[in-house]
Parts: sequence; C-alpha cells; structure tokens
Amino acid sequence: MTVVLAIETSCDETAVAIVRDGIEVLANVVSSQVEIHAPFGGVVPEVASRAHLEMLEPVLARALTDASMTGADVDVVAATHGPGLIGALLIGVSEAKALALAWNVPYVGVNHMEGHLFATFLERPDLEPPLVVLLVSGGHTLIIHLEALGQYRILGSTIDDAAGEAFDKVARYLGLGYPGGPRIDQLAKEGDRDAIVFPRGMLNEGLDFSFSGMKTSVINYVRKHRDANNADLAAGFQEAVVDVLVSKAMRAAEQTQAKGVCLGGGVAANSRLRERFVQEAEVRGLQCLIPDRSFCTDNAAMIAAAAHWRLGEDGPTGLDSGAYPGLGLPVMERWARPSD
Amino acid sequence: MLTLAVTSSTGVVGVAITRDREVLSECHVVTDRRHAEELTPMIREALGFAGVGLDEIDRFAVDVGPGRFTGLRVGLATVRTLAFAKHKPVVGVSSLEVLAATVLDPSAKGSLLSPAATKSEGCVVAVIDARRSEVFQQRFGPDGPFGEPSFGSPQNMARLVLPGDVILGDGADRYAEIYGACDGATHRIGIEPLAANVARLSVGRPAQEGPQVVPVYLRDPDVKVNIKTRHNT
Repeated sequence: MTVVLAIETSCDETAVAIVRDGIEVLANVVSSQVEIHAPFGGVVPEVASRAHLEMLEPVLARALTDASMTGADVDVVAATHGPGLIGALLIGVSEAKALALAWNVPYVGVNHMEGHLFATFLERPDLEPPLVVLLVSGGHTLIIHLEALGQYRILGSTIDDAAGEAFDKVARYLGLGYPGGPRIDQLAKEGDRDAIVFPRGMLNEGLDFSFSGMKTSVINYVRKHRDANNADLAAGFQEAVVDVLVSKAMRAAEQTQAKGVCLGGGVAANSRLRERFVQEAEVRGLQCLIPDRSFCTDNAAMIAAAAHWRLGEDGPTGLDSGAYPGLGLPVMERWARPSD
Repeated sequence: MLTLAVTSSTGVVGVAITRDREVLSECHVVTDRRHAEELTPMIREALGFAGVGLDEIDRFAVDVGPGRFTGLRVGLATVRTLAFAKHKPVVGVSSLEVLAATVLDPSAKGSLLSPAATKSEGCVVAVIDARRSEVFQQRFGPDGPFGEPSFGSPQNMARLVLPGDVILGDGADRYAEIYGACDGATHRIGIEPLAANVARLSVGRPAQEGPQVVPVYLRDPDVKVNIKTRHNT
C-alpha cells in the first residue's frame, strides 16, 4: 500500500489530494481562485502566486483531516512541476519538497498534462489502451494517443488559441464575465445552437485545431448584427467548437484503431462537449470515459495518480529540482498520420 | 534554543542553524532564479554540518521581504511547510533589517561590526533591488529603523541618504553610480543578507504560527484591467 499526498498549484487552483495505490481517493481538496481573478477577466500570475501561498496551510491541513491522516501515514509527496505559471508552480514544488524532507519520504515532480491523462484511470483503472484522449483546457488542446501508460503520441494540437482560451475570449467579448467556459455553457442552454452557424476551423484538415478564426467570426458577426442575441451566439459558438473537437477526436480513434476514447482537461466539464462526445463514441462502438467534472478541472488527485505510477517507473525526483513552466508531455515521436 | 533560519528574498539563498547566539552551520549560494532548487538540499546540508536533526529544531526563522517576490515566496513556502510538518513556530524578519545587520550588530546596540563603518554616525541604509528600475530601502540607526521601508526609483531613494551613512545591498550595487555619488556616504559593495543574521534577529522576538508569517511585498501586483466587450467597442 502506498499513500501519495499530491499538490497542484500550476494555475489558479490550490489543491491537495491524498490517494492510496494510485486509485483510491482519500482526500481531494481544491481551493479555487476564480473569484480573485474574475475582476481582471483572466488569471493574473502574480495574484495567483500570492493566493497560493495564503492557502498553503489551510488546504494541506484540510486534506489530512479529510483522509484522517497525519504526516506519518504518507509514503510519497508529489507536486505538479510543470507546465504552468512559474511563480504558482514554485509554491507547490517548495511545499512538496519541504514535506518530503520533513517526513523523510520520496518526492515526485509530476507533469500536469500527464496528470490529466491519469484522471481517467482514477475512475476506471481497468481501462484498456490503446486509447485516444482529447485534452482540452485553457492552456491546451491536444489529441493524444495513449498506447500504454507513459507512452504517448501527440496526434493533433492547436495552432493558435487553446479551446478554453477561445471560450474565455468570446465570453469576455460578449460581456459574460470570467471564467468564460462555464458562462457560455450555461447561457448556451437558453439559446438555439442552429440559429447562427459559425465556421468550423480546419474541420477537414488533419487533426490539428485552430480556434482563433472561430473567435474572430463571432466578433465579426456581432459587429454586423448588433441585435444578435447572446444566448444564440453562445450556443452557436459552443456548437462549432464542440463539433470540431469531437469530430477530430473520433477521426483520430478510427485512424489509430483505438479501443476507446477519453476526455480530460477543464473544458471537459462543458456539458455539450460531454454529451456529444458520448453520443459519437457510442455510434462508433468505442468504449468511452469522461471523468467526473471534479477530475476534469485542475485537481491534485490526478497528480497523485500520475506520481504513483511515475515513482515506480522513474524513481523519486531529486530535492534539487525546480519548476518547469514550459514542460511538455513526455511523448514518443509524433505520429505519422495516415491522413497526411 | 535551536533555530533554523533561511534567507531567500534576494539573489542569495542561505540557511543557518544556530543554538541561541552560536552559529552551528551556515550555507549560502548566489543564484539568479534557482531559489527553489537550492533551498531544500541546502537545509538538509546545513542540518548535516551542524549535526542536528530537523526534529530537534525548536523554531524556524525566515526573511519576509521586501525583495524578490518569487524568491521570498519560495523561502516562506518552504519554512512554513517545515513548521507545519513539525508543529513548530516561525519568526519573520525584515530582509532590509537582515541586510543592515551585516554591519550593525543587533546584539550590542550601537556597536558597529565593520571597521569601514566606524567613521560614520552609525546609520546604515539597506537597499534591495526591486526590479523595474526601483529599489526597496530603509535607514537603520543604532536603536533600530527610521520609519517604514519604502520603495521608488534609485534616484529618488538615494536622496534620503545622509552624510556619514553606510549604504549596502544589491539595490545599491545595481545602481552604484547613483548611490556612489551620495555626499559623504560610503557605499559598501557586495554585501548580501546572511541567514545567520536572520537567526540572530529572531532571538527574543515573538514566534508565530506559520500562516501568520506573511510576505512583505510593499508593491501591488501589476494588473491592468482592459476588457473590450461588444458593448464598449
């Protein structure tokens, strides 16, 4: 039995989780800074770093209490060490290394993106690779081929904005506030998704994405149609984004003959994306897994799951390691895509 | 009383282990951006040199700024976490005071440690680089600081230096032309905050719970609210 305490501070959530054997979540505490950043319309790095330090002890204490544990029960301490905001990452990394030193246990630095991949296995450890994972967040839009644990190939990625970023920008333009994803999701339910049809960027071109043009088309449409209804705009834009995301993920699964498809990242909390993803997977007879919303958005349970596996694979990370804001997913060579 | 003291708010990361006023071990390294990489192994090293286990430490001390935001947060996150894990209190000390203590001995009021400083009136001006063409600055006399720490352009802050003062710190070093031109004052180059002085200054001061020891940023985060919407464009 291995108990991992993991810390996640890569962006605007201060999170600590305690997970046993990589699958049993004993505590999963997430303190969101959304309200702190809302007035600025986006995450302000220096504000995020300050808030992480303020929340350090309360979140850590709460996780230990939730799991009914003390430091003596923890076998491994882990933290997200990249990618993310450098100042924010350093709070979690410093905290984790200090705990490892104080409790005399190994430290494991975890790749945030790999954490998102492991969120899937938290709920379904029986899931059988090869899988295609669509990872969509405010910072990333990736289609990943997961051949086995630790063996990833990037099949597609965005050439400009991340999907979540496009949601935020459109929401901001429409005056819906921050964070944009949940606001658009909510408002879209009141709108007609076929009322305004926005272009689907690069829909039939390979597996890469482009969302910048889709965002611009919303702005241009509003300039021409001053009376356009926000709910219809939100629904139409969301439908366009979801259409592209789901089509490409399914195409990737077909091309690679994957056994299943998974969804991860903050945008995976979007209700229309979840709905369409499941529908399209069913049509194709693919096993499909969408983690619970709490495991899609940033959390430390997924970091603990990834740490548990990484420790067995690579051993502990040195206490002289730091934070790596531009860290990429440890991928194998890029897939030679059949469609290219 | 065994103290583990840390400084990390400038380009120097340091750790000292002290028993009352006796320094058992002390490590420092000059680093640009590797505060987090250096600090944890250095704590282990300093404990090893002192032959002291982390469990034996009675309290922690750390400099809380003003200084480099990222560096001081690494120090506070590390020290407060150790204190949390070991259920021990923390003493926060001003980084400017730690710097001033390099020449102004806090244990013996008014006596200056440095021969170079003896010709002055006994006042020290500590200057820490605040980046963005600004410095954090505070003036200390034999009986303590004059007023609160403040920040501004080196040109403006250098006007607060008086004849006979000793000027030190990485802020003064970076703007050596400006501080070197202060009438009648001595600019001592290359003085860095030392972890042993963090420990010394913490003696006799009230210890707090970790979360109560907060960074002294002085400067607000640089945030511009500039949101264009369909209604204001």
